Amino acid sequence: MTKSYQSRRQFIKAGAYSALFGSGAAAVNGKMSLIGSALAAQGDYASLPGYKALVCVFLYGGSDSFNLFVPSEQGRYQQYNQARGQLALAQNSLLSSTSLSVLFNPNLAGLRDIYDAGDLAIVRNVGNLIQPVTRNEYQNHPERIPTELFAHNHQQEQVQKSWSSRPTGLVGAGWGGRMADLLMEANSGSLPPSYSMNNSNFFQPGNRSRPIAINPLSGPRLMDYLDNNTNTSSDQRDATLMQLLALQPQNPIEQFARASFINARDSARALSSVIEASPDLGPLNTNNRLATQLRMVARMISGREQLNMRRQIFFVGLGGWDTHDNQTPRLNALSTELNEGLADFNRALVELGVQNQVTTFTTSDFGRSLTINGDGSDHGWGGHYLVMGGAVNGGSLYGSWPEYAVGGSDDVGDKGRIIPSLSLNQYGAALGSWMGLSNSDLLDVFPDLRNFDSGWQTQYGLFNA
Amino acid sequence: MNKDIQITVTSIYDFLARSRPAQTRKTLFVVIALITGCSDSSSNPIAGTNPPETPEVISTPDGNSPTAENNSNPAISPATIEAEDIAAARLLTQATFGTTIEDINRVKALGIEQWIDDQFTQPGSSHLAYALNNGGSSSNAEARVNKWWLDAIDSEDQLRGRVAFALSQIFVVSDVQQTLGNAQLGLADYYDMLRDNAFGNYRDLLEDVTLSPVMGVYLSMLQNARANPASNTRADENFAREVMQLFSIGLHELNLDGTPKLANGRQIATYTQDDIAEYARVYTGWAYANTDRWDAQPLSQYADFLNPMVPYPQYHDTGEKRLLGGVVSPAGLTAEEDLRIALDSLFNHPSVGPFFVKQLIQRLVTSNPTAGYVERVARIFNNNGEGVRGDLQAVVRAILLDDEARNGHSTNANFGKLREPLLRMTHLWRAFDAQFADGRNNYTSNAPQLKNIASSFGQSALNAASVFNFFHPDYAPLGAIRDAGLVAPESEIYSENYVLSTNTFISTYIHKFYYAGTEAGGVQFLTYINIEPQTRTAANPEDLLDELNLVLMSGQMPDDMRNILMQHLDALPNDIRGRAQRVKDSISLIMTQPAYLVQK
Repeated sequence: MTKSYQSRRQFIKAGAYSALFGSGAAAVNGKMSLIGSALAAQGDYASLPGYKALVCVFLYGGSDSFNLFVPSEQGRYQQYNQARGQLALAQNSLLSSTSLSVLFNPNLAGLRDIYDAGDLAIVRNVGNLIQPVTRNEYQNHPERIPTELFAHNHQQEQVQKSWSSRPTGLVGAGWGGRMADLLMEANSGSLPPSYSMNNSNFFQPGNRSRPIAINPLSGPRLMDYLDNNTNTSSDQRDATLMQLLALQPQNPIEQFARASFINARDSARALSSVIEASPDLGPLNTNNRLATQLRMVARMISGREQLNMRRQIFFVGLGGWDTHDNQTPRLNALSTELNEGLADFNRALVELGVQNQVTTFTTSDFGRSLTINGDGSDHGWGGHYLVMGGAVNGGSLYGSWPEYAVGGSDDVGDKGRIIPSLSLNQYGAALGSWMGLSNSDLLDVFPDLRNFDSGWQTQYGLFNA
Repeated sequence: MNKDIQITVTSIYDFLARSRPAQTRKTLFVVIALITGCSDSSSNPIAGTNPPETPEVISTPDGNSPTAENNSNPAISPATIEAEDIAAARLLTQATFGTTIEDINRVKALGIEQWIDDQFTQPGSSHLAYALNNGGSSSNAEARVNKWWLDAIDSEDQLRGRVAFALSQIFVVSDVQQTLGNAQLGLADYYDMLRDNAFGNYRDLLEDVTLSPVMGVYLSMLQNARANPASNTRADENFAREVMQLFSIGLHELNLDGTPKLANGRQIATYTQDDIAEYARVYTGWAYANTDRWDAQPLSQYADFLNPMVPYPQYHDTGEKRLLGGVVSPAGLTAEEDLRIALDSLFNHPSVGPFFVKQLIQRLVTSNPTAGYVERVARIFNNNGEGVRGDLQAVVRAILLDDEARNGHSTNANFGKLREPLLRMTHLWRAFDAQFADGRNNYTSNAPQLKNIASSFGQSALNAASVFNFFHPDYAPLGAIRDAGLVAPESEIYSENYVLSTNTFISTYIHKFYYAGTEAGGVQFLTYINIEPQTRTAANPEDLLDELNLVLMSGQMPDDMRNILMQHLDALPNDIRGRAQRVKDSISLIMTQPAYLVQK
């Protein structure tokens, strides 16, 4: 980080505080700005061209991605088949692709088609790492290993914050948020670049930018009786509410309560008309939780010009992946939902004409154990993730297959918990690089990134030149 | 004393002297004659608990006796009344589903300590029995949800209910999980189990949770079989991991005061992956009762969700298990014997007390208890004074009677917790005497959205997204809270989305469904608040705000907030319609405000 860069950031931070301080007075005048959400600033990214958005699809619970994407090469498939036992998917049930090197879960036909069309890539054996480690190092150097591996909440937090050399509690912002802190300079207006369709998460809060959580079905809706833009309110009550909201509490939790109310109210005012004006993107299966969330992302993207957005980061979540038991039917349902949701989103982006400008990626708490616990799998580490979008150099595999061997060189022990070969830092940095972040800033966004190879600087070839 | 948080005696007295409209179904608990005024609670945290020998009566601030009926007793000073009212209201915010004037008077009549002891004796009624008698079925959640609301709003055993709700957020099961979505009677029974154990012993609670078939499904201990080398399978680690991480000892070793123990500046893991594997072998060989079908399907007639799981010896791993604290469960034991040894090893772990009681404090009293508070309660957990470990009645008593609970609002700048959305709604309906629309006898048929309230509130009973509850106990949003090293667990469901939908929901049930005498709205359709008494009080806005400050904010309304509300009320006409508007506007505005949203 250069000195000039640092001072610029400090300048912006000072600006953020004065905006927060002044927002109460603005509230009285009915011209509130979202507290601490985003502040336009001039800088390195103010002149970024075009529009780009990153969409994080977080698979809550630890996705068994070893059963979503399976190696086709005979020796590897046999290894997989043996390690997974009754969990293994039969080779003839899997879907083949033009690349011949990977087989898709039978429920992922839509994703296979996008892969074959060159708009989807698979990044193999990615996981939460501080630095590259071997089986021997895992067993003898605990300080090189992220803490609380295999514990859902900590791994969700570490994966979404991606600074695992620091204890979980000491990391504040998420890596999406740290990117947004910089990229928001490309946008104008007071709205932040980050929007969640799955309420709170650790990925999006930044040191300067805060995400806004949006209802995935309806979008943000004005509060009845508490917003004089609705027909249920009264000007008089609204004026009193403005006066009350101008009060500045001392207790930090009260300060949060105040900011959350003002931000919610303002977000509805700023966004509800955008959602209402969004084009009809065709029928939606609202039983599909992912499709529902991603459809709202698409509707938000359709309002990008109205909102003066040139860089945006979205978050959607899909829970239920903790398949300790009854895995086969549960994974069938989840992979079907994943397939339909992503394929529907891809169609919507094509329809909006932004397919090349939006990149969607999956990640999860962790992968799962190769071994079976009766009728399911337990918490693992590395897993395979997908990156989808018109800019993606798709139809290809990135990273490398692990050794599918229980007790083998990639197993931390004897249950088939696989040591990742590619770090989330590298994965995230490649995505951030596509969004336009500089290499030096990416080293700030991912402080552990310097412990890995520099292939992320050329995005591992993941994107079309 | 702060003038603006004074409760004028006249308004309280007026409230108590009011008659109810004929159609209300509840009886006002009038305790005027028992109002006591013995001591200043700020000088003794547990004072005011013994009613005086002679009942005393109240006077107006200017020394005149109230003019209402039933007053023939000598006066006491208004300042004393005020402190007592506030102390009672604050206790009720922590110990019930929402403060009411009736309950304030009950606490004042009994004294805080006796009120708590009285609550321990309130039996309550079964959620399962209600569900069975009201059309509940395995796939129909409505009766179960109805009972939760009936209990929260109307039952006498408020403290049991509030503690059980807290326990349901620690020992989490959820009907979001597909199988449990079709085990609604089992969930009602699970909730009964939490209620039954709320004032029992933690060790019994832990065992009942462990052997619940509902938990068995949720964390896959049900039908967990010993390793089978032939099919390359091994024991399921799910329950073994979460019972330690979430239900008992936590990830890191704790001091008695809840702070982490450190070695070379680093926290100390309570258990390793190998420990989990050992415990996973303990929890093998359990499945549904009242059948001999080990692999009975959860939706089949053989799946018994109403009785604890039973051992199936052939599936139990009988090898030796090396457990925490050097405990060894030797080879050859039965599933029950192994389980007893394993749960004892967790129960006796030194981290259990601080780990568990801190979460209970967070659910009831404050998000950031001091180390001293945690330590005092953890000591009671470890020994209730009679050599008993895990006495939850003693723990609940210690939590509520602690000086920090009783006086933290005036001694600790960071005291308090964000109100959970569900508890905001129950507060509204309790404080303003919710009434069913004609011909209805439960809350969900009166307020259909309650059936799917989690989509608005981010929470509903037994409906968390995962075993990690609606929010994490260590959640700290970026900004002032995190910068101060504090946490605010409930803030995780104060997303913009939930803030919008929660406020719309609550405001609708204030402004649209109300009874105020000749002025009313929507009473024939849905559950409505009865604000007729407050509407009369609203002729004098000062009195109205006194009452609302007490019942909604435990007397903590800041001066500037009160002044703004006063201006608003003064500007509304003093006719029946304007008075009803004064009440509705005050309630809905107060319930959006930070000083209300943080329970202090």
